[in-house]
Amino acid sequence: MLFNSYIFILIFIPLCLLGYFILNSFKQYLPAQCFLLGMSLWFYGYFNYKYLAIIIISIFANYGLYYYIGKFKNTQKAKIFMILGVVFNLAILGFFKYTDFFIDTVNHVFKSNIPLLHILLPLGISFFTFQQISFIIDTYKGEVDKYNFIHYASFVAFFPQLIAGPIVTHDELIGQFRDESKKKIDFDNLTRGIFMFTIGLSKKVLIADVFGSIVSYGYVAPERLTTISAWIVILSYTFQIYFDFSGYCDMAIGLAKMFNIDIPLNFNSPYKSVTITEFWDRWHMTLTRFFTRYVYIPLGGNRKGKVRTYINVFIVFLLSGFWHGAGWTFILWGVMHGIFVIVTRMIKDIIGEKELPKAVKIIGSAFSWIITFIFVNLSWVFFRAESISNALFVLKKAFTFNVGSAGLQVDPIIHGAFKTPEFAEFLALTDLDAIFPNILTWGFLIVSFVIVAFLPNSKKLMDKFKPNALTLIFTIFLFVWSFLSISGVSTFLYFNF
Amino acid sequence: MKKSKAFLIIFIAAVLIIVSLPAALVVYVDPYFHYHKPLEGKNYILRDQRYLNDGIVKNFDYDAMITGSSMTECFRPSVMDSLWGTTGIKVPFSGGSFLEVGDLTRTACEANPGLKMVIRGIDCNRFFNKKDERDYDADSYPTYLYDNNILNDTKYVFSKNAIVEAALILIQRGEASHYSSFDTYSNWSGDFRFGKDEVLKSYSREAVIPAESQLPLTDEEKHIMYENITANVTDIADEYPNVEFYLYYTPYSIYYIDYYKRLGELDKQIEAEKYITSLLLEHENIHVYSFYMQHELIEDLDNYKDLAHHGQNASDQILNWIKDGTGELTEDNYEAYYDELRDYYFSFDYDSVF
Repeated sequence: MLFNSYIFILIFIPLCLLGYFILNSFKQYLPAQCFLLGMSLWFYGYFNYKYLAIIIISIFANYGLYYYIGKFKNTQKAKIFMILGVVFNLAILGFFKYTDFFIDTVNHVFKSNIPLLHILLPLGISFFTFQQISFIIDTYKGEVDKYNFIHYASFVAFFPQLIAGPIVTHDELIGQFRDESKKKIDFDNLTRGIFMFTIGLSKKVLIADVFGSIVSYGYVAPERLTTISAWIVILSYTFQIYFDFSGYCDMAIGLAKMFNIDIPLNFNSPYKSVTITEFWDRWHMTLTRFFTRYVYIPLGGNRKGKVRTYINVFIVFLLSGFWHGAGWTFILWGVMHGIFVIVTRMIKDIIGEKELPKAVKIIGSAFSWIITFIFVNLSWVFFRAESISNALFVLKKAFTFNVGSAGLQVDPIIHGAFKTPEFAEFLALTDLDAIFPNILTWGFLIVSFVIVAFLPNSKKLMDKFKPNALTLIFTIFLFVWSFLSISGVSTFLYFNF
Repeated sequence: MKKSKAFLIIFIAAVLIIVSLPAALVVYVDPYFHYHKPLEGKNYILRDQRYLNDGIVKNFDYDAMITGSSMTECFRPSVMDSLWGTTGIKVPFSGGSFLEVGDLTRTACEANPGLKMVIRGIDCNRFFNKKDERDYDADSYPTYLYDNNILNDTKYVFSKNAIVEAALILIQRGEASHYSSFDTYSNWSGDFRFGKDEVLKSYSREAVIPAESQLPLTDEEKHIMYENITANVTDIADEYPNVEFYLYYTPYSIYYIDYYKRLGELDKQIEAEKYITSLLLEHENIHVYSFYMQHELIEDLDNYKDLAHHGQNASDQILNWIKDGTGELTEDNYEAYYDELRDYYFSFDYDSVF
C-alpha cells in the first residue's frame, strides 16, 4: 500500500503502532518485532501478493549467506560466499528490472525478434537489493555483529523505508531494533513523527501530484507545447520529482520516528546546491553513500591519480543512471551527470582553493548555482521522457524561442491543471484570476521555487518541532488538507473519440 | 511528554471531527449519485462522465437510455422521450470503448428492471479493439464508485473534488447555480464551430498517401470482432431479453471515408461492419441502423466539427430516423445494403468535396 492512501492512514498505521507498543509494554520484545515484520510484509504484499515470495526468498537467501560468510570468516570460502551473495542480489535485480531492456537491445542490435517477457517489476526491489548487498559486503569485511533472523528480516522489510528508500545500512537499523529503551511509546517522537509525516504527505499530494498531471500532459504529446509551456513542463517535473521523492522520504522518516527509530536523511535541500558535486551530496544521499562505499572507493576512489578518479566518477554515474531505470534515457541521464561532475572537478582542480574577494565569491556562487540548476532541469528531461527522441522533442520546443504571441501562450489545459477544486473555488469567489491571469500556474511555480531554494528542509523543522498551539493548528490544517487531497478526480486529458 | 500527549489527543480528535463533516456532506448530497438519486430541488453538476454515469444508471428513474462514446454526447433524451414516450437519460463516455459502454449498459439493465430501450452508438473506429480494451488505466479510473464495497468509498467521501461539488450543489453556486439536464450533459454542440473549414483542421489529406490497394479483412480480425461484439454487445442483449437495443453505427463525415479509402482500409471497414451486422441481427431484441447512405448527413460538412463528430441537429435527426426505420438493416436487406454502399463509396468523387 502507499503512504498516501486511506487504508494506510486509517487502518494500517494505527493498528501497527498499537500492536507494536502494546506487545512491547508487556516486554514481549520478540513477538513485537515479529508483529512489525508481519505488518511490513502485509504492507508490501498489499501491492501484489506475488511480490512477497520474492522478498521472502531474498531475505532467507541473504541471511543464509550471512551465516556462511561468518562461519568461514577470513577464509577463501567467505570470499566465495560474499561474491555469490552480490551476484545473487544483482541477478534478482537484473532479472526483474532489466530482462526486457536487454531483450529489446538485443533485438535492436541483431534485428532479432525475441518477444519481451513483460516482467512485473516488484516495487522497491532496487532498494532492498542494495541494502542487502551492502549487508553482505559488510559481513565479509567483518563489520557485522551477530543478528538474529527476525531483526535482519525487519531491517530489510521495515515498511517505512521498504519501497522508496532511504537505503539504510544494517548498523543504522538493527542496533535500534535491539535497543530496549526504544520499545516504549514516546509521545514526543510520536508527535514529531506525525508532524514530519504530514509535511511529507502535503509535499506529495498538494504539490507533486498537481505538477504530475501537467508533466504527463506535456510528455505524452509535446507537439502541443509552446516555448513557454515547454519550460513550464520542464520545471514542473523538476519540482514534481523533488516533492514526490523527498515527500516520500519525509513520510518514511516520520513513520519510523513514531516507532522511535531514526532513519537517515535522504534529501538535504538539493536545489540549493551551488555545484553539481554538492547536488549529489544533497540529493538521494543514501544512494550516493552506497555508490561511494561499494563502487567508488573499491575502484580506488581518488587515490590513483586524477584520470582514474574521473573514470571512477564516470563509472559511478553510469551505474547510477542504470540503477534508476532500465532504459537509455536513464543511462544518458547518468552519463550527463557524470560528465558534468567531472568537468566541475576539473575546474576545481585547475582553480584550486584560492582566496577570492567576498563580492567575487558571492557573484561566482550565484552564477554557479544558476548553471547547476539549469543543468539539473535539463537532465531531468531525459530522466522523465519516454524515449530519447521524446526528450529531444521537448527540449526542441523549449529552445525554439518562438516569442510571437503564440510562443508566449500557455496551453489552457496546463493552466487548468493547476486549478485544484479548492483553488478554483477560491478564484471564483475572489475574482483574482481576472486581476492576475493564470495566477495559479505562476503561484505554484513561484511557491515551489521559494520552498526548494529558501526554506529549511523538513528534517530541520522536525528537529526544532515543539508541541504548542501554533504547531498543533498548523499540523491539523495541513494534515486535513492533504488527507482530503489524496484522491482527486483524475482528469481524463487525452480525449479521443 | 505531557504536551506531546495533549498534542496527540487533540490532533486525533480534531482530525476525526474535521474530516467527518465533509464526508457526511458528500454522503448527504451525493454529487456522483453513488448512494441515491439527486436531492429534490437541487441542481447537480453533470460533467465528469466516468464519475457520474454508473451512479446515474443505478439510481435515477428512467426507462430508456442513450449511450456510446463522444459520438453520442450531443443527443437529447428529451427528443427521444417525445418520439417514444419514454423517460430517458443520456450516459456517454468520451473515448469510451465497447467494454466501457457495455459494462455501463449491463449495469443499467441489472439495476433497473424497468428499463425498456437502449440506444447505443457503435463506433466504427473501434471495430478492431480487443474485447477488454479500455483507454484509461485502472489507476486513474474511479473503480471505487463502480463496486458496492463500502470500504473503498473513502476515496469518494474524502475527496476534495466531491466535497467542493457537494458544497456547491447544496448552496447552488458556481456550476450548480443553473439547471443542467441530460440534454445539456456533455453536449458541446454550442461550443464548437461546424463546417468544412473546421473539419479540415482535423484532417490533412495530403499527409495520407493513397494506398495502392485495399487491405482485406483477415480471419484474425474477424475473431477479435466476434469476441468484442459478443462480450460487450450481444451477450447483454441475450441476458436481458425484455430490453430493446437500438444500435447504430456512428456516422462519420465523408472526409473520414476518404481517409479510410486513402489508407486502403475502406474495404476492410465495410466488410467489418457487414460482419458485425450479421452477428447483431441474430438477436431478436437488437435493431441495427446504418446511416452511411443518408447523404444529407455524411456529405454535408456543416453537420461536423471534425472528421467524426456531428452536433446536436444531426443527433436529433438520427433519433427521428431510428423511430421511422430509416437506415434499419434486416436479415433481408443488409447484404444488398453493403453492396450498394461499397459501390457508392468506391465510385465517389472525393476530390469534389475538398
